[in-house]
Amino acid sequence: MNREMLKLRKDPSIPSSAATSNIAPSQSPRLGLNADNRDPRRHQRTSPKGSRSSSVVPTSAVAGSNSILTSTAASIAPSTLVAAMNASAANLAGFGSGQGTNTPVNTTLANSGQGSGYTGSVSSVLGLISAAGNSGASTGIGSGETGQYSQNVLMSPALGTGSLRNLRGSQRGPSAFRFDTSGTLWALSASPDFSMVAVVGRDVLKILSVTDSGAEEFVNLKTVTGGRNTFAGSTDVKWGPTSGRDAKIATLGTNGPIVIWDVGTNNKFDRTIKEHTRAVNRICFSPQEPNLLLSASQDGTVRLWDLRTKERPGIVMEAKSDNVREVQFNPTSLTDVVAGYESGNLQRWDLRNASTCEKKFMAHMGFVTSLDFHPSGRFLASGGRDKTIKVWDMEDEKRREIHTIPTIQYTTKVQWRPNKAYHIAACFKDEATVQIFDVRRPYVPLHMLAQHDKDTTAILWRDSDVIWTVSKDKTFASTQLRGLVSASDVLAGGNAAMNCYGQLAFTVGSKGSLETFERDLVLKPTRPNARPVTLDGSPEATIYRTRQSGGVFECDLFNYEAFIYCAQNYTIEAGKVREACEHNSNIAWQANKYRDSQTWTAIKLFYNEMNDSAVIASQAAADVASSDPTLIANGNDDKDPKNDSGEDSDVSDVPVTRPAVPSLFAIKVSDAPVRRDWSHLNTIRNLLEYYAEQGDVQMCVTILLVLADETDLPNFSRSQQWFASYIDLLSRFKLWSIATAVAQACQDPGIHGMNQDSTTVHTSCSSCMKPILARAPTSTGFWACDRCRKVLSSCSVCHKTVRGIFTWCTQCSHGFHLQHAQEWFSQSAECPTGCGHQCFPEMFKHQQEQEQLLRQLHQQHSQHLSEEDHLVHHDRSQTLQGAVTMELPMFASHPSQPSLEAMDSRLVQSTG
Amino acid sequence: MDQYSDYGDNEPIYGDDLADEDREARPRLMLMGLRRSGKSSIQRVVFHKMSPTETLFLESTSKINKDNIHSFIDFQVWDFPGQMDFFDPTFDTAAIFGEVGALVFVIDSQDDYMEALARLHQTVRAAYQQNPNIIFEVFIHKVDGLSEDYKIGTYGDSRPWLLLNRLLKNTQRDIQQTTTDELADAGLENVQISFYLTSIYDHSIFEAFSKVIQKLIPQLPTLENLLNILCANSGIEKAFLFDVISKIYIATDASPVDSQSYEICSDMIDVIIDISSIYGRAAIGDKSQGYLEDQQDHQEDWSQHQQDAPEGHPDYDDSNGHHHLQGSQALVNSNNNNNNDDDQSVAQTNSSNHEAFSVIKMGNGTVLYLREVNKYLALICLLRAETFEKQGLIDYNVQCFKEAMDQVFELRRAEKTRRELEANQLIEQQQRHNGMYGHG
Repeated sequence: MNREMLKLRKDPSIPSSAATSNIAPSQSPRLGLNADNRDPRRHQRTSPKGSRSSSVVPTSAVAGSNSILTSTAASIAPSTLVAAMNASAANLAGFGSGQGTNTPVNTTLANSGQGSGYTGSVSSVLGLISAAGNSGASTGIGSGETGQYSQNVLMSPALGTGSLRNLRGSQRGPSAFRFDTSGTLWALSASPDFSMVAVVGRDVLKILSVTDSGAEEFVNLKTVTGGRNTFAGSTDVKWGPTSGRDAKIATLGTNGPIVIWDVGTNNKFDRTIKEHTRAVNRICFSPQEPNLLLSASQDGTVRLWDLRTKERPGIVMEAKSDNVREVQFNPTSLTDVVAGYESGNLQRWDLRNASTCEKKFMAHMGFVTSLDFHPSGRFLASGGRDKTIKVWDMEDEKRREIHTIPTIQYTTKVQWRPNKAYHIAACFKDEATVQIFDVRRPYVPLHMLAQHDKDTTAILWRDSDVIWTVSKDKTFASTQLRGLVSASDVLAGGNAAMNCYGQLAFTVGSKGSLETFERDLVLKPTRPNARPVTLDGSPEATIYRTRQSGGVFECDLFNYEAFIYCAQNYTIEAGKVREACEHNSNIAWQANKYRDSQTWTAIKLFYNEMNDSAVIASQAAADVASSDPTLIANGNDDKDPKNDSGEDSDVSDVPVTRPAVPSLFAIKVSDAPVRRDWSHLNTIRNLLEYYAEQGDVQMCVTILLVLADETDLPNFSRSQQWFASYIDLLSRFKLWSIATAVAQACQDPGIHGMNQDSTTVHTSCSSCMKPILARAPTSTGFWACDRCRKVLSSCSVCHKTVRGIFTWCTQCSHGFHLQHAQEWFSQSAECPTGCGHQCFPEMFKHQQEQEQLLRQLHQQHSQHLSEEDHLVHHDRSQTLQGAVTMELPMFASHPSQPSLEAMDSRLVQSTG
Repeated sequence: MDQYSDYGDNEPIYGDDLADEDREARPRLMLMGLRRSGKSSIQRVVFHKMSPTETLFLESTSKINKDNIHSFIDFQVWDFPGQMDFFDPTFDTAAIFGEVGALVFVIDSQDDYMEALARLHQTVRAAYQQNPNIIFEVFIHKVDGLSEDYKIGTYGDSRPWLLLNRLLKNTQRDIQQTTTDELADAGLENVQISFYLTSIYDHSIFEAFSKVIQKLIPQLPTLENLLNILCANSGIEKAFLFDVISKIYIATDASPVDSQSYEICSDMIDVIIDISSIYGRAAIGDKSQGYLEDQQDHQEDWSQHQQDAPEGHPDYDDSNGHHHLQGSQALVNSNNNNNNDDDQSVAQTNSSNHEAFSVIKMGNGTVLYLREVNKYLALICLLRAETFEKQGLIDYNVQCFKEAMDQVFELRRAEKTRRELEANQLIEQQQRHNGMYGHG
């Protein structure tokens, strides 16, 4: 285990304990220790027993992340995850067991974690996290609930369909029953008193009588027709609102006709309506007028039929060339009708004025598949091909949904639950489960019912606790919801994620059970004067917030400051080995990496002309390398006293002059036997392998780059992995330019090609950092930011957007039209924005520097200034003196990655 | 006149097409839109099988490009140059719009579309005045680029698909709303206008074109009903009637089309065509009638995939080149995109009908069943493997379906010949009259 791992914080403080449901730390290189599907057993299985999980330095950053592993770390990731967990758990435990006590317990825990392998320790770690969370209740982090969730603390609370699917099968309710009919079922409708239900499907047309405990066939309407009307099947059925003698049902034949059956006195075939020119998709009885029936057809019309007459319909609502998929009466109104169309539109019609629709708005992308009016008559739920259920306020002038529920497939039916204003049930295409949602908690269904073996095709609430379903598995089922396990009960509220700065964010959550659901509702943030829209008429709109407590924990696993400092300052230039080693040695020293500093010095000595001193020195270095493993094995850093003393001191305090190192070698030289039959390459290989084992890809890569021109260097099979993981790590710390430079310098074609590979340059707004979607259809186009509504790259003189050549002061970063800048600076030296910056003199100075630089570059025939690689030209003849001119990337994409710092920090984010 | 150099060298705007007797049987489809909105690319991709990436190299269209599509229904695609100002008084709007069945207006969604909308409204007004029966279709095009931008993923919201969804919907909603309002202001509420989100890089353009073409097919309700009955009786989940050349479906059953089913069927056609172009034989003595009188100059036919047929083959008719998909007895393992596991494609020849059929069984228990209906059309059904156990039943039902289709189109042809006959009689009568008067 790397020694940095062991540096557990002596006094762990929790920086933030605010309750949060989003537990990922906000730093952008997210590496979610997103441990869904990682149960402890898996860790045990995948932990390589023999590997000393010593690669924590870089891989702690990637530990547990799902896909970002690219490097040597890949093989050891799981164990590293465990190691990281151990360390953090130790911290947590330390915290939980009381702040006052000191930390011997921490160290032992961590040590045992690394020493004895990871099997067995994992579960204890998991337990520890939750335990810490619980005991923390007194101090404000925990939730106060007892540790029931210690087993699945690592389960992701995110709604993965996969994980929820696992819940199936255990959900057959207590008083559920099924009734097998002979054919695939497509629709059902119940009599007003719910004693009978009509089920239709392929070759099925039956009425079942249903009691609380079971169902039996009451009549088979297929036989009634006597073979006269052998419809192959019926796609929809609706029971008229009358019961008793006048009871009527309407069915839809697959080949078009609407068939009316008189089922009140004796079951007989009443009449067939064949007016529609194309297939009818849906029928709907008026809830108030029992003889009025609506039909929605592929031919684009909705027709209203009066079953008392045999005449053609008086009311035809015609949408222009748009197939009608769904239609429904408003339950509280006589005349209000809403239809859903194949284009995704919803149209509201008033029967009194059928010539034009009252209201039309786009609800879904792709067709509308299902509609249901809320019992209040004001709200409407619609499901569409875009895999969402949306709730609309029909009285609102704005055509905006008030709730959206993302679903796993598109819904084939939705229905509001009676007496529960916020609950809605839905069934889906190609999906056997029925899900019941609370619209205030859209991502986790309240219930998932798995009554059927095949696709559930239709649902119907009997009352607020019993739901009836039919399915392609030929069965009709009734399910009792009371006492059913809620899907949210099974989900754990805990999660943890880690970022590259060694911070572990975690949540411990109470389980959202149905009982606590109402308690966990919080006020929905709305605009100050907006009237809240609530489905149940309550005065305040609420949304569900999981009761979770979270925190961020500083694990201090990885000395990222030193890493960044070295990354920024190491030279990676090949060819001048001695100078580069000298420089890097200094840098490492300044970063308190004394061992690395020594390594650099040693390498420098190898490449000091091949004389005796080099031989001796390399022998010494070999000793260093070979002795290192013993240092580690002892788990004890005392042999390097400077290391500990320098650990907490400021970087600037460290003296740059180092008499100690040469003397150290000198001592070794004196008593080492001089051997001449060695090759320094072996030593280098040992060095690299040593660092690779340490996980210090920074050293590996930098050494490789510095020695890149040494032809006698052997090939390292893993060098590509080192590069990849180093570049990955650099990007994680947002060191894009350095990552690009490393990739550029690498001779491996695979790595070098990263810069050529699908590189795009995205332009971001300088004030809100939102990417500017140059081609996005905004009314403002490219020249203003959509989000913050600020003009982009405006001229500081005329305040208009600069199109074409944009000139800016490289120091205060205010930009101008070229001409305006020239005019302004011919009169004044100060920045026109009033920022107080003396642009002109600065620019002048800058220009001189640049000229010097250019001269140097020309001398060296450097290719770095070729136009191909640079978006920014230093073209003095065109620009203002010293200012940098840039052609705005109007349709920003450039074949290679610009490597200029200015753009990096100000405008451009690059993705490789 | 030089501003009309767009049309070519004094070429009449609609050239010899006025002389085309078959004109009424040939619905005209117009592609309009601003320049660089992607009209020609659409035309090439859909009707000429150009690869979408190649469209980058298309030059801008400088004159009206008329393209006769000889397929199941014959229609003409007129690709208009974007920069053309057809509201100039010298421009014969009556002649242009008078015969149009559908006008497809293409809007580049990646561009600022306000200008395009203004142009659309102008176009709709002008066209509607000339011909109130025109069906207007608006393609909100190049939506693929939008998604790319949203894939950057630098958003706080971790659900980019929701964002994308919202963006697309807002775009569509915006365009739709503006257009509807604008037209209502102009008193044109009754204009039929539909909107589609399209991209040439996926199947959306084919799907949108399918819906456009379907509106031009008078037999659609009948075909749809036939398919409904077929589906209900055979336990088929979804059935498409495809135009094989363009991969447009001209009819489907009434159940909702889900894009995955469409895509897989469309891919299947590609697979079958590719296989048959390798293993297929030229049709032997097959003079089976197409449903179209006009059998000359088939530029586009299945034969274009059979260019490598042996030259000396006695029956290989190069100029007319009309072949059935004559699959050999080859057993082919297809690499279907959606399912690489254990798909098996069996291309077989049904010798009695000289027609191709093919079955692909997919790993997820779905079976794709393709059957050639006539030389332009293929029926593709999606069904569950357990339903497919009764393959005999399905074969029989499909055979019935084919016969029914034959009858439908027989009727149309009979109708047409009857009308021609009547017209001829009328002419004869007149001639006789003339003769009589002449004598008198």
